Amino acid sequence: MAGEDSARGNSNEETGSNPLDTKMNRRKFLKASAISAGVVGLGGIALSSGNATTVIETPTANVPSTSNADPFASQIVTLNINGKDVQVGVEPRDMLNNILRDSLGLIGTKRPCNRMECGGCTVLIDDVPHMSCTYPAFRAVGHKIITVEGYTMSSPEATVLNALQQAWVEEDGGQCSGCQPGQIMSATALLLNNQNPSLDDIKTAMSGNICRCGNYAGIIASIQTAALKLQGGSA
Amino acid sequence: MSSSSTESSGLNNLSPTAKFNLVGNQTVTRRDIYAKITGQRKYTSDILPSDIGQSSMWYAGFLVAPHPHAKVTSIDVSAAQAAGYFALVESDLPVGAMFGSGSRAYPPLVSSEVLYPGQPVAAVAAPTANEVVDALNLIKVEYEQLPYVFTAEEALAAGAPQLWPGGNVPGGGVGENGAVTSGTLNLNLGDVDSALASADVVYEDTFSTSVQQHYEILPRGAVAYWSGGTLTVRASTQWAWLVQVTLANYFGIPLSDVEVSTSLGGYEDGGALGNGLGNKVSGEEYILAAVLAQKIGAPVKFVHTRLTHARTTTNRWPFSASFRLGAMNDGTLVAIDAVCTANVGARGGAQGSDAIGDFYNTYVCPNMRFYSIPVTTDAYSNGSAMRSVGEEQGHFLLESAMDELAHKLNMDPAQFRLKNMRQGPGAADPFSKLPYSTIAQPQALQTVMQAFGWSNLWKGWGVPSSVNGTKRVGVGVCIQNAAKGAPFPPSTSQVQVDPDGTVTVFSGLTDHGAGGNTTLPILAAEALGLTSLANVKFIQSDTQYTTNSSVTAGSQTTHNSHSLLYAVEDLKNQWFPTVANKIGASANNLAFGNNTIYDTTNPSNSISFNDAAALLTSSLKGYGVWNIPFNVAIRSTGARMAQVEVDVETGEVHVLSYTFALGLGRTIFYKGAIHQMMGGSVMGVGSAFYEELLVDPSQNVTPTPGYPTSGSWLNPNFHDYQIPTIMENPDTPNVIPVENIDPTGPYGATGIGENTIIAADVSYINALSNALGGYRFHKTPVRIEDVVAAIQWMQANGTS
Ligand code: FES
Ligand code: FES
Repeated sequence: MAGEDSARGNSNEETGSNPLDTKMNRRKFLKASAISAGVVGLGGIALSSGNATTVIETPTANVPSTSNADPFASQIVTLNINGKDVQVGVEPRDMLNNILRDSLGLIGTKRPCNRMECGGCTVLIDDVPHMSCTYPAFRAVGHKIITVEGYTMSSPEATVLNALQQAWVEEDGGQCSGCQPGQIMSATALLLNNQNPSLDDIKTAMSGNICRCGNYAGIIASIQTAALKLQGGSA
Repeated sequence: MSSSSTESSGLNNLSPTAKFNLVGNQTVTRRDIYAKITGQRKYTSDILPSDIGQSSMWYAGFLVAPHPHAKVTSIDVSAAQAAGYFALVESDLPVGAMFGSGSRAYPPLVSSEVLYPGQPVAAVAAPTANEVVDALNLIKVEYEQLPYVFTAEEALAAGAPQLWPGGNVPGGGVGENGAVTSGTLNLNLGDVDSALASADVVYEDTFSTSVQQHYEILPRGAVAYWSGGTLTVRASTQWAWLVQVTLANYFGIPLSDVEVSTSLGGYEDGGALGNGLGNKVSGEEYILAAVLAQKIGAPVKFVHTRLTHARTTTNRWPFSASFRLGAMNDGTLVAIDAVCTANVGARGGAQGSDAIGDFYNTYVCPNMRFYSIPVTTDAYSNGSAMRSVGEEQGHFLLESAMDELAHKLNMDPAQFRLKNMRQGPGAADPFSKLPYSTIAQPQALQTVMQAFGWSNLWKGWGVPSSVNGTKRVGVGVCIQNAAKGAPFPPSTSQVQVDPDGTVTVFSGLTDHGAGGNTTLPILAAEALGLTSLANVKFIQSDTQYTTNSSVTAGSQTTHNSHSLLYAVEDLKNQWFPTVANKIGASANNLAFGNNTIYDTTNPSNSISFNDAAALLTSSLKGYGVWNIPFNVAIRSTGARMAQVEVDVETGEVHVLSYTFALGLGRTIFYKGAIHQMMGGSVMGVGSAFYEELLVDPSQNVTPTPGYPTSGSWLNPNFHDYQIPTIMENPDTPNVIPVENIDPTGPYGATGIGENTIIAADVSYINALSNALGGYRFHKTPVRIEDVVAAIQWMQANGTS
């Protein structure tokens, strides 16, 4: 019922009751401030507003300390994404997916369901695949986050990611490709751990990723081709 | 059935043995895939303010009714407004501005009576995405629940609540005692009653399907913004021009003041749909985002949640048919009598005719009678296209009944179909009498029988192919013959060549994922003699930069792109005089060769494509128009066989393999065609065994906060609805394009589209039936409880 772009909302979506009504005053204040400033941001705090330009690379010295006063406040945190540290404002209710997409503009990570049912939002956290739509952004602090945009890094993960993305082109791994960034991240985690996966290994690793276009045959072929390439074979 | 003029001018080679550079080339890869899988391509839900030249934008959401039928007694948005959010209810919208058309047009928000669970009653916008939830939570709505009807039977019963003035049958009515007094379709050929009376075998049965959801992977949405009086909407739409006209009518502004694109379609390779499956044509949110953007004076982005996507957007409608079939002992079909009901939802119109067309086209039968009624119910919003307009459902009904008729005749079901199916040459639609432009039967079925090994695997009625402990494997067959839908001519497009040799293809069509973004550039590049797509750009689906090429639907994208060949012809006519002058030839004798333009009377006299382009002082654009012909029946035909395993201990079902041959005229984008055929076959696994939106049928139970109320949907999400995953993917797919050249199509292609899923479910279900002693399943999806009932039946009948 809520806008797709929201973070996790009140699950009691239809009755209109809101156990968190008390937070409204602060939100109203922040919003009014944001509007009057003409940009989204307040005292160096970037809101998860959907504006890719609001990432704050170096926090200003005079960031107001709101965290003690307001449990809903946005705080600046450092996230390690695709090998780079970025600083970004995070609200306690923000999921990693919101931050990646709406605050950092890393839209390669999709949000098909926003409720942990499709795998379309999969990213690697310390090389383990996680659904970013339900992974609290704060929890990602101090961990290595890799998204589908990570192919430009030079790292073991990027080597696998690149091989998969190339194989995806050759083997036609995607149709609409809306699910494919998530598929590719799950496949990256698989090949990082298992250089020679069997069909069953592939199915198990990919079972959390829905492809509504039904391109599973292409996905399997792509993973097999990438695995062969990474082993030095001529796929 | 005349050949196209592009053929006579040498641009459209229809020879079945023609050799091409790019058409059908197995090495051509999907043009847009790399950008999509590296996060460089933006679907509508990915659009950020910077993509539309803005510094910020607002986010919107719907509040939807939880009840199937209720009076809205109050809506209070004051708390949301007091908190600084924008909220809309019906009275905030332009008076009389309606969405939809005809007698069932409605305002995009209602504050009087809701007719289905999920109807939007309010919309909000907030400056951050997180706050949309806060804003929605501040709106208070009170409802008085009213009695509701979910099934066609309930809606047709005497005393049933009437959804619309005039009753629950659009275009018809229900008389006293609930008798239907008129319907929308009533066709009669020959003498059905006499034929049934004299038939050796008469088989009567009823089959039905369920409400299903497209659940295209990326949800429907829009970004709307105004600049002065001009409205721009970047939407996930299959037809930008329909959204444009809808918005212009709604706001009462000229078309020239409304620009609509599919995502960022006006930019090079900018359109990305994230699949549509028939659900992304038009919607309330395109209007409401625009209204909010106007009120706020800032861009507004709306993207459906999975809940509103399931409930508020369109659905595949439940369709049922009661058949009486007659045949002679030698297997000749002599009568088809069918009474059909389509549950078209609260706002659906008359639906079902496409499926009925399949009923009378698929088989040859001298005596046929069809009666079909659309019935409105409170079950869901709007029965609409979902990868076909009723034909997916219709083929389950027809091919279940025909299979069982073959059973009653104790005849091999493949042979029954070979004997009775419509086939060429000379095939024609029995009612319109229009000749088919092409037909792949009987070739498709014969090809499938051979590739699948039918004669070895089919062991007879009630006899599975193999039994291994508790696991039984059965085989099944079906054929398909479906209309190509959505004939909205003309289709127009352009092809441009720049002095540096760059070619740009302009089309109003978009790409669900089927591969149009590659297919269309292939068509144009092939006509231009190019051997690579490297210098071909594609601009698509933007009312400002492209023209209307008709809707991306109805399996028509490739066919409608015939206009590209006319565009190349126009380009050629403008360009060749200059080239002829340069190389000393007559323009009439010039032709495109492999990356060259050459003199057909002296082939060694040629100029490279790029050098010829360099002769141009500025870009040259050719314009093409194509009208789908109405003097032929353009249909898609094919056949399927499947091998399905069932474990009689657990009831678990798995599709092991399938073979699917489809007449597509000519394969244009090979990799895409193969995967499209497989993808539809996978989606058919969902339709066969999993997908059904379930409702709580209890009436008027006082809602408990936080729990679904009576009449609400129980599984409007991916997880409980159950979409096939890689675990349900058949291990051994085999898809075979049948190249039955269609003279009306570009290079003879008819396209693929919806026909990839049509009849997939019934091929698996017929195979499951064979595994379980010939038990006949009567509805889709066949759920685990249905499988258990079949196992129990089989064991009680001693066939285990
Ligand atoms: S968007 Fe996260 S699992 Fe679907
Ligand atoms: S490629 Fe479209 S959903 Fe997977």
